[in-house]
Amino acid sequence: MPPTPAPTKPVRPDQTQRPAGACSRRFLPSLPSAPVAALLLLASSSFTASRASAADPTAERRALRDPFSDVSSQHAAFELRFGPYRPNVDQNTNANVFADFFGDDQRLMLGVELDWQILRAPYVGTLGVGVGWGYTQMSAPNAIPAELAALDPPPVAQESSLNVMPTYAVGVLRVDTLARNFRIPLVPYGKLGLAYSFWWVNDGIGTATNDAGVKGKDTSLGTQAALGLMFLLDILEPSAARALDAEGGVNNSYLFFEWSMSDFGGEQMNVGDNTWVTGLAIEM
Amino acid sequence: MQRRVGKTFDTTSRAGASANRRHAWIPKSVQRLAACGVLMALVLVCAPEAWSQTTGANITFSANTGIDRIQEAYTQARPWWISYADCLANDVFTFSLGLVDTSNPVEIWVGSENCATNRSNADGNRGQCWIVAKEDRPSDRPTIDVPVRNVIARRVNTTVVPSGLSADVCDDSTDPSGETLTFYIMQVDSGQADDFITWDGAPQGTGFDVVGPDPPDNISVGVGESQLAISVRDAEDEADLERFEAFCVPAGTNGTIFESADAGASEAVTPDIDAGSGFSSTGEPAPADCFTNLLRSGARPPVGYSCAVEGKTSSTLRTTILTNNQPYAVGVAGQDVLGNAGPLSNIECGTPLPLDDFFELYSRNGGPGGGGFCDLSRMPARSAPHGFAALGLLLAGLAYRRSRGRA
Repeated sequence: MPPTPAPTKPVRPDQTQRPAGACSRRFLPSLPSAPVAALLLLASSSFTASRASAADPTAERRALRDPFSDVSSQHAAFELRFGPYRPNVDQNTNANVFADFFGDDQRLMLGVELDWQILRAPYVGTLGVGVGWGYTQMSAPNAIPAELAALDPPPVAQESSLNVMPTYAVGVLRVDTLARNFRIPLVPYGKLGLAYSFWWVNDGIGTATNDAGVKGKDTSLGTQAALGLMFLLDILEPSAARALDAEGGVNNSYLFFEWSMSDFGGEQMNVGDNTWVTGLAIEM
Repeated sequence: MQRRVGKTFDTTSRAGASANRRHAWIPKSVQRLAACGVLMALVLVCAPEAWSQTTGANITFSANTGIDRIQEAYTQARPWWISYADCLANDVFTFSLGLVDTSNPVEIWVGSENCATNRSNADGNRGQCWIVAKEDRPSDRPTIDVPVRNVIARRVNTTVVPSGLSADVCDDSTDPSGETLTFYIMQVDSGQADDFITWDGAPQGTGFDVVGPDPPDNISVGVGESQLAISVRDAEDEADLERFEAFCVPAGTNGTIFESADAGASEAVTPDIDAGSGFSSTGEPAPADCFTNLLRSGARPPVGYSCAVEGKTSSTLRTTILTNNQPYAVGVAGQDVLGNAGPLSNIECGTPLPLDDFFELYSRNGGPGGGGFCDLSRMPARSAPHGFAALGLLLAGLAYRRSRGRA
């Protein structure tokens, strides 16, 4: 195996000199004091700095054996996400309007998520906050009113499209101790937070309006939660992963599978869905 | 409203080179200074013509060539080319000249070969040059107008300038690629070109193209609310094709008068429904369900009934707002870069209908929401507390971490 190049990304001295278990405050936000919360069970334990190996040969060799060994410091995670999506619009209506109009087919949701990994709990994982964005669209021909349907009109070529663009802010806990401490390349994780979704309906000419003249575009506010499992891809090609870390600052890359739940109940269009999501994630 | 377009021109003069050599002994810097002074003086004196050129030849341009053009929507790329709309409006080229000798008449010819060096070729026998304007008694600064119909008419067997040509000449040409031309402005002495200059509209060139591309082989019409969706199929990728234009005529609309594109023009243009020699008159008329004599397959489309324009790569043309429950006859024509519409495709019927879109059905069935983005006045009754609780919990944890770090 060829020798691994020296790290090109600067490593802060405190990352290598800080003893294990010491608390890293490099990424703590400036927040005012506040009451204790349950999540502090994680935060109150000892935290370590993001791991980064020094450029000594011993560490290099150890790193090659351990695909989770980082060369550069780790601050964030990025996810490229896609999965089926079928909004629960009919939960807030008197009839199955969505199903009757758009059918039962699933639509593809594409999205991205960026997490800031604020804290590291030894033998647990990282805790951070993330923001996400997604987009999906579904289209179907406009409906012929019942009184005209009997006239056998020609096919309708004008389509309505429902566009859904959810955004969310979540807290993210990624439990990577299995991979870091037990060499099991799996990282379970959970997310919880708020979702704020934009939606709009185009009637084939422009923004749709209902009989009262209300425009068919709005936002919906709700909750966002997810449970998932990430598979550490670094173990498949450790040397390449380490080179990517040294040269590009990508600590780890994953294939993930997630069960995502979003709910927008109340007096608003429920454009949420409980669905699975898959994609690629990297930690940087 | 007519708008005059002026542009710097390129000229070729036999006398220009010798004039430059005449002053070779003067230092170039002095020449440039003097030229600047002369130019500025001319700008002041000759305004608003604003631009003048003196080459030392017997005949020169004294101002930019202009054209009074009605329709400029598609002519920016080739500003000096004559389109079908230009012909219908009978736009005019304007040449402002300067003459040293005013004793001989000025003639303007156009052609695709040299109409001046051997003027015997310009008498029309060879059909490559034809006269478009003449000034028998020119002043020293004549302005000569050339109606574009004279250019398109191609009256090659005469040395008499045609006048009063009707719009029928606009259908004389059948070449979809058009023809590149050069204008020859000549002073004629005893039947021979005594001196001349040329104008070719460089760099975009000049000429005429009054024939649009072929239509798509087949169209079909889909129904929408206040709209029709026209599917274009089997459109050939021909070089002259730039975009598709659809024409929608309410059923029962029958007329014989096509208004000129020039709203201010005094002339009402009355071309044949069958569009003259350029197009087939044997195409199918509109179906009986939406019959109109204004649309006919293979004929030129009528002015004033355009309802959609899309690029040539589009397969569907969505019309502008139409009247619900009104049957329309619909046809599609190809359009070239100058905006010339070709013959119409097959004619189909379509009737916009009041349809129910998704949001209408959603609202009628009690679906809440709508009204615009950024409307935070309606807080969700059930979900928001959960979300805020989660976010608050997270922020509280972070805050505690910070306070503990300080301690």
